[in-house]
Formats: sequence, structure tokens, C-alpha cells
Amino acid sequence: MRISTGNFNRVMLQVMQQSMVDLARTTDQISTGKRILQPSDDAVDTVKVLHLDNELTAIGQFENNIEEATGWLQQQDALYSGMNDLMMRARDLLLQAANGTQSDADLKSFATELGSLNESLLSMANYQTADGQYLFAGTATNQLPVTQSGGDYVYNGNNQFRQVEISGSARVQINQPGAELFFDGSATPPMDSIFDVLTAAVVELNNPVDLGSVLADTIKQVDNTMERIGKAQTRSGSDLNLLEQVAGSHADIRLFAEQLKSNIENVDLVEATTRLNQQQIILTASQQVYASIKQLSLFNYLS
Amino acid sequence: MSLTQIATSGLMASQKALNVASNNIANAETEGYSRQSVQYSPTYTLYPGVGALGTGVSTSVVNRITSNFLVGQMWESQSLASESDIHAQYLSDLDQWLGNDSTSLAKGFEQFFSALNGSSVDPYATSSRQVVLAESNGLSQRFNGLYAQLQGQGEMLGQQLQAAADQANGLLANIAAFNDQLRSLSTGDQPANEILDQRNQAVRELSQLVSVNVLEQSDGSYSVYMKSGQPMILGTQFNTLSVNGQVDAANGFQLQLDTGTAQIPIIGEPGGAIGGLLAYQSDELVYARNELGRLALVIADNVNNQLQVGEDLNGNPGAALFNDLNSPAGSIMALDASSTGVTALTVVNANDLQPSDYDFRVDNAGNYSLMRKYDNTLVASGVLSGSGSDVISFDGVEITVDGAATDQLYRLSPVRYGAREMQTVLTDPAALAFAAPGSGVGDNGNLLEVIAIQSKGLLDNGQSTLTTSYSGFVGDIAVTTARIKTEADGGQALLSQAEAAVGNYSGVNLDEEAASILRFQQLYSANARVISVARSTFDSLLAMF
Repeated sequence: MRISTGNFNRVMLQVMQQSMVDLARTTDQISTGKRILQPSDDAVDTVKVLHLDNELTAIGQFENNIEEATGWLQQQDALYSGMNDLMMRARDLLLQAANGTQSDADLKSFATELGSLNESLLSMANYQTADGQYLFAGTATNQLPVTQSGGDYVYNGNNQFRQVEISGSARVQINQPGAELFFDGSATPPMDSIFDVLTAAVVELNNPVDLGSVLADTIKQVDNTMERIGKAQTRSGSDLNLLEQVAGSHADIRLFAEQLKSNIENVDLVEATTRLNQQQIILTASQQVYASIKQLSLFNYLS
Repeated sequence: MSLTQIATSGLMASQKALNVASNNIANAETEGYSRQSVQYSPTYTLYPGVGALGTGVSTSVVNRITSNFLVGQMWESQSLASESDIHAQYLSDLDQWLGNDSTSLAKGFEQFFSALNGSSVDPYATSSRQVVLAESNGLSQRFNGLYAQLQGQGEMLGQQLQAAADQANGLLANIAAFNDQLRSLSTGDQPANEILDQRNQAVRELSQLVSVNVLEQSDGSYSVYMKSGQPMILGTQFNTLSVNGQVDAANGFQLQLDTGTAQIPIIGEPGGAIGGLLAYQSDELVYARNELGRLALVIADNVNNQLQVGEDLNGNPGAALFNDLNSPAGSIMALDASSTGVTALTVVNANDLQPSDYDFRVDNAGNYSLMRKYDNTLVASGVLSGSGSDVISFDGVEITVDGAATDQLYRLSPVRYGAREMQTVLTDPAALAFAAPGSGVGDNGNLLEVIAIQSKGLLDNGQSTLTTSYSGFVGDIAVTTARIKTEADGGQALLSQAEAAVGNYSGVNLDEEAASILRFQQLYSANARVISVARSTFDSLLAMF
């Protein structure tokens, strides 16, 4: 076996170059924290990471949706509570007015308060969000939901719901058409809304004709409206609960997916640092071996 | 024959050996140098028969220590190593772009659909609609950007092919010239060793560029052939390689052999770096271009179709978000001048598209065939009607063909330019049709349908979503890259072995040469001593008188 001197040099250089390549790769892995520097490093795991990324982005989006939907529902919830308070007060007034002991002056002052309660309820029904959209217009959010025309209150919105995806399989309804809250579909116009009914009651209190029966009808309508608002509030409440639960499960899945992704993609720092040390030792050793073998030559002994 | 004469022949011989050894030492690091040794033979014998006497030594020839077998192996492994090495370089770039977050389509899809989803809570809000437009632009630009990278690779590949062909032509001329010189410089039994080394070195450099078969002729000249059999060098005659075509041609850049009288296109894989470049061009580059183009067409078509059944903020029917890619520019490429029969190509169902080119042929009797190149599958065949225009459907595409056409040869590429052409054309955020018709501005019914496109099995018979289709593609390229990288590493290892085998056989070992110098110094001294003995013998004789 003979080895040519040039070949020996080449082989030693190759060994050292390979060590340098290995060393550079490990350094890259450590500085980026990633085991997979490009897809071909591990095709199967790369595809897994792509899918996990996709899932994480989707979860992130669902979490954003949940956050925003929560805002919408909480806003509605607050409005429902306000409406409920208004209705309670209206009911008290109507009951007091109906007990038969009130003077005309008392009735007139009840009328004034009832009138302003009606106005407040109307402004809640026509509530506008910061960007000018109406909350209770169904999906026709640029339409003023309740207006008065020719003495009759009418609904201008639609009866459609807006749903938002909060997970791959679940959606929540984040708006409430006003028709379902303030209008009674079975009643005949113009007495088909709480506003019409309260307006009529105000007229009656100011100028009683058939006070007992009008007040009894009004109380019935107020109760019905409170029931409808209550239902809507219950639903938004349960939706808020659902949002919280789904957000919790998203957080779990996110944690799991991130852990999985990190296990697949990230470099094991302890292992990588050990490898780096080994590679440095190998490189240094090759250099030393090369330097010391290069000194061996028969020519050193020729004189 | 005198002692002096015999010793002088010894002196001359050892001097020559010392020269050869020092020449070896001088060339210890010369690329392609084969070590040399002196071959001795005794000179003729006086008085042959009884009492025969030798007359000294002669150095008949300086041998070059080489093994044609080992050298041939080295050339072969050089071709393989160069081929897979350059192929791996191109693939590795592609692999990196596809996986990189800032260029990956996976991120583009995610961000686009995220923006849509973000708009679903408050579809009336301009701010979130603007995000949708921005991400839509971002997605189009990712497509355009990846296409531009591929196009850049295609162009660089052409330049490298051209440079490689030029370099090969220089080497071919050199080898032919060495063939010629060898005839005039070799004298008697002594070949021109240095020319032989240089010629082998030139063949080695040539085999980096293209795989060669070398046959040594009886006159010592090399005949050099391509792997596919075409002669590149015969004696002192040589043909040249040239590169034809351009990046957007049906077959991209093509290698051909110019014989002076004819230009022969080189079909198949010629090996070496040229072979590696051509392999990438015809395989992964085409696949990547078509797969990206297909995804562009599929997402543009599905999103546009869904938006167009919705209603925008102004109550108008929905507009397209992306440009219409269904009458793809540049998709019909005639492969010869007589092909004029195909008049239109339209995508009728984007979801049925395949990431492939097609070869469309019509013979002289009007029989046609459509071959999908990606998997070499016949997707349509039959006979043209003979008059009017015929419509042929395949893989979500329809082509219109002159019914009377004969002798046609076309390359059809429905999706080739999809990624280049894709654009977001909608600029007015209010024109995004998120509402179902008649449902008011706060409705997101149609938007939810657009979002659902993300998780629908649109491609490959409903088996792949946009995202899984893309990740499958990334996976395919990654697997191929890993395979070719392994091949390149293996090729490099084989080459190193072959180099070592040649080097260990033919290369110079300095210790060995040092030993030779010691030996021949001794030999020289011994012969000189003989002369001195001859003189003293003669002096003794003279002293007698």
C-alpha cells in the first residue's frame, strides 16, 4: 500500500473541511434554536410543522374572534340589563297608576316619567357602536332599527343573525335583531311594539278614558317584552360561557401544539452543545495530526 | 568493453534516475501528474555464448505509472458527483424558499384566511376589510415572488449551461490538439508522458461537465463519445456543444452537438454538471412552476366564484378579488411551424387541474392524443371531426382545435404562468362581497363561505385542501432534495475513493522519492568508484613500465 503525498494532503484537507461544515451546521442550529434548518433536513417533520403552524394560526384567529365576540356579547348584555331596569321601573309606575288611588296630577307625572322611559328604551334599541353600526338591526347594521312614522313605531332592520366561527366546528351568534326584542309578531300594528304600547299608555295617563284596561294591557306587554329581553340575555350569557370554555380548550390545544412543534422543530440544546464540543475536538485533533504528520519526512534525514 | 565504459553507462543511468526522481518531487502537487520511473535494460552482450560479457546498462524508457482502469473510474465518478452536486444546489435553494416563512405559501394562505376570519366578527368595519385586501395582495405577491425565484433559477441555469458548454468546447479542442501532439511528439518507445497526463486531466475536467466514454485508439489518440453515443472527438476532429432555447421555451434550454454540418439535439441525460442542470430544469423546476401555478388558479377561482355570489357594502353583486386566470396566457406552445390548429385553451374547472404540462399530437389522419407529462398518462385521445372546431376536455381544461387539423405538435401548459400572473385586482374594501344577497351590510353569510374554502377538499379529487396540497408539495421537494443531497454526498465519497485510488497508484510519495534519491546517489557513487578502480588498475599497469 502506497499513499501519494498529494493525496494525503487532499484527504486531510477534506477531513478538516467536513469537520468545519459539521461545526458550522451545529452552530447554525444552536444560534437559530432549530433542528430543521430547511425542509429537506427532515421532510416528514417539516410537513408536520407546516400543519401545526396552520393549526396554530387558525387557533390564533379563533382566539381573536372569541375576544371580539365576547366584547359584542358583553355590550349586549349590559344593554339588556339596562333595558330590564327600564322595564322594571315602567312596570312599577304602571302598577302604581293602576291601584286607583292616584290623582290626575299623579297620573300626569307618571305619564311624563313613562314617556322618558320610552325614549330611553328607544335610544337603547337604536344603540350605535363606535363605528356607527346599529346593534339591534339584524345584519342591516346601517339601518336605524326603530323609527316612528305616522305615529307608528316600525322596525327597519332585518331578522338575520351574524355568526362567527369560534372553532373549527362551532359558531356563535353575536347580534340580536331588534324585532325579536321590542316587537310582538302576533300583535296587529300599530300596537305591535313596546314603544307603541308605552306611547298609548302615556296618552291614556294624561287623559284617562279606559285607564284600568289600558294599564292592564300595557303591563302585559311590558311583561312580554321583559321575557323576550330576558331570553336574549340568557342566550348571550350562555354564549359567553361557551366562548370562555372554547377559549380554554383553544389554550390547551395551543399549548399542546406548540409543545409538539417545539419537540419536532427545536434543537436539543444539551445534545447540540455536546455535539459542538465533539466536533471542535475532532477538528482540532485533525489539525494537530496533520501538522505533526507533515513534519515526518525522509528528507529531514538527508544531508 | 572497458570498465570505464560500463561504469559510465551506470553513471548516466543513475543520473537519469536522479533526474526522474527530482522531477517527481517537483511535481508532487501537480494536478493530474503521474509519477515516472526509469526502466533499465542491460546493453548488448559481447561474445555471446561461452564467456559472454555484459557491456553496461541503458535507460530504455521513462515509464509513466498509470492505470487506465482507475482513471476511467475516476472520470465516471467525477461525472456522477458533479451531476448530483449541482442538482442538489438548485434543489436546496428551492427547498429553502418553500420552507422559509417569509416566502412560503403556507404562511400566505394562513394570513389571508386569518384576515378573512378577522373580518367575520364585524364585516362592516373598513379596517378589517382593508386587512383582507392587504393580505390578499400579500398572497399574490408570495405567488409572484416564488415564481420570480423559479424564473431566476431557470435563467441562471441557462447561463450556467452556456458557460459549461463553452468550457467543454475549450476542453474538446484541447483534447483533440493533444491527440495531434501525441502523434508528433512521441518518439519510438518513449511516449510524451506530460502530454498524456495533460490529456487525461482535460478529460477529467470534461467529465465534470458531461459524462464521457473514452476509447483509446491504436495510434494512441482518444475517441470521446457522449453517454448517448454521439462522438465528440474522433482523432483530431472535434464537435462542439451548444445551448439552444430560452427559459420560457416549451423545453427551456436544450443541449445540442454541432458537427459542422448538422446540429444534433441531445435527448436524455448527458450526465456531469450539464446533466444535473438539465435534470433540474426538466423535473423539479417544471413541477414547482406547475404546482404553484395550479394553487394560484385554484385559490383565485374559488375565492372569486364565492365572492361573486355575494353582495358588497353598497348592495352591489360581488366583484372578483383576484384576476381571472382561466384563460391562461402562454399556455399554448406550438412545437413546430405547421402547428396552428389549437386556437384556445380555457380552464373550466380549476379544482380538476393537475400540476403538469401536456403533449398534444395530431397525426396525418386526424387522430389525436393528449399525454400528461407529469406521470406520462394518456388523458384524451380520439379522432378529430374533420370540419369546424372541436372541443377536447381533460383535467379541468378545454381546448378548441380546428377539426380539420393534421400533423400537429403542441405543448400545453395550463398552469405554468399561474403564479406569475396572479394579482389582487380589487382595491375598494367596500366592494368585498361578504354578505349574502339581500342580507344587509352587517351580514357575513357569504364571508363564512369564503372562509370555508380553506378547509375544503378542493384538489386531487377532493382529497387535498389548499394547505395540505402545498405542504404535500413542500414534502415532495424536501424528499427529493434529501435524496439528491444523499446522492451528491455519496457521489463525492465515491469520487474521493476513486481519486485516492488513482492518487495512490500514480501520485508521488515524497518519502519514496527520497529513498530513490538515496539509492541512486549510492548507485552513482558506486559507478564513480568503478571508474576510479579502472584508473588505478590502469595506473598499476603503467607503473610496471
